[in-house]
Amino acid sequence: MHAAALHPTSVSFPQSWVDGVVRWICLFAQGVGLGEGREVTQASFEAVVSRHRGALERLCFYRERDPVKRQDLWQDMLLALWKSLGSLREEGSERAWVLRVAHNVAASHVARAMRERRHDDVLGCDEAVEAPDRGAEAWELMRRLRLMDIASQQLVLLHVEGLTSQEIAEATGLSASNVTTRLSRIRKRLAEEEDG
Amino acid sequence: MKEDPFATLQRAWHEQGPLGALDPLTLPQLQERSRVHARRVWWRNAREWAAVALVVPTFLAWGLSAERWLTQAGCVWTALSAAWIGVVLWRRGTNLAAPAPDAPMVTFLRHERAQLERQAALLERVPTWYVAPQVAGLALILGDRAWVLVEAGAPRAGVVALGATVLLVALVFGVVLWLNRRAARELREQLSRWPDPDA
Repeated sequence: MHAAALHPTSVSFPQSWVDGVVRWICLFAQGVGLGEGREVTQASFEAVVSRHRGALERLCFYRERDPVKRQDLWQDMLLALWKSLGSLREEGSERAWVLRVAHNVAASHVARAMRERRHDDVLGCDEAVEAPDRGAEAWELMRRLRLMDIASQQLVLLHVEGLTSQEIAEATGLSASNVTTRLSRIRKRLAEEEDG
Repeated sequence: MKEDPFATLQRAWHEQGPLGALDPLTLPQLQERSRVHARRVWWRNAREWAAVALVVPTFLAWGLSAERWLTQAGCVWTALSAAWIGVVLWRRGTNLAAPAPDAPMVTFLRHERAQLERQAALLERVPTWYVAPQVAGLALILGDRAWVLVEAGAPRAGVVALGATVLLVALVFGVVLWLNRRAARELREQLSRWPDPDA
C-alpha cells in the first residue's frame, strides 16, 4: 500500500481552470517536499506501524536488553515514525523507509548508551533472540555479528529482515552495488570465523 | 557443506516471534511523550544555567566585599571562570543539530559519530577549560589566606586549616580529572567500533 493512500491531503480542489492551476501548484509543491498538506492521522499511523510491527519489535529486542529501556526505544521509534510520516513518499519502498527511521533511532540509542557508559548492556546477548536452544550456530553467529561495527550490523539486520539490495541501498544511502559488496564481505568474514 | 551464515541468521531472526511485550501507543500518547521530552530538556538546560547564574554573582559579590586585593582578584577570576565554563558547555557540550529521522542511515551514523567525537574531545580537554581556570581562582584566594597567616605569625591552627583546605581542593579536582580521563578513554575505545562513513 502506498503512502498517498495513507495520508489524505488536507487541500481540497474546486473545479474551475484557476483551481486547476492551483491544484497543479499544490501537487508540485508536495512533489518537491514543500507541501505541508499531508495529514498524519491516527489510522494512517497505526496502519504503517501494524504492517511493520514485527520488524520493529525484532530490532528493539536486538538493540536493547533492558526491558524498561527497550520500551523507551520502542516509543522513540514510534515517535520518530509519527514525526516523519508526512514525508513518506509514494515512490520507493515503505518497508525500507520505516526500517531506515527505526535504525536511525536505534543508532542514536546505542550512541546514547555509549555516552552513559552502558554500552555492554545494549550490546549484551538477548535471550529471546539468542537462546542456545534455538540453535548453537545461530547463537554464535549472532554473537559475532554483535562484535562488528554498527554499520555492518545494520546491513546484516536489513538483509535478514528480507530487504533487497535496492531497498537496503534506499535505507542506508549507499549504492546498491556497494551494499552487495559489503554484504558479501561480511558473509565471507562470518563464514571464515565459523570455520576457524 | 555448511549453510550460508546469512540463511542461518535469517531463520533464527524470523523464528523469534511473537515478542510482543511492547506497549502499543496511540497518537495522543506519542504527542504527550514528545511534549514531556521537550519540557524535560528545557528544565535540564534551565538548571544548568541557573547554576552558572548563581555562582557568578555569588563570587562577584564576595570579591567586591573582600578587603584584600588578592582575594578580590581570586573571586572575580572564579566568577569569570564559571561564566567561561557555561560558555564552553553551551558551545561544545550541547548536541549538534540532528538530521531528520528519515535521513539516510549513513548520515545518521556520521552525525552520531560526530556527537561522540565531540563529547570525547570535551572530556579530554577538561583540564584546560574546567579545572585550570577554577584552580587558578582558588589558588589566588587560598594564596591570600596563606599571606594573612604569614602576616599573623603563622599560627598552627590556621596553617593546619589552610593545609586541609588545599588538600581537599586538590583531592576534589584530582577525582574530577581522573573520572573525566577515564570516561574519555572509554568513549574513544567505543568510538573505534563506530564506523566512519567517510573513511
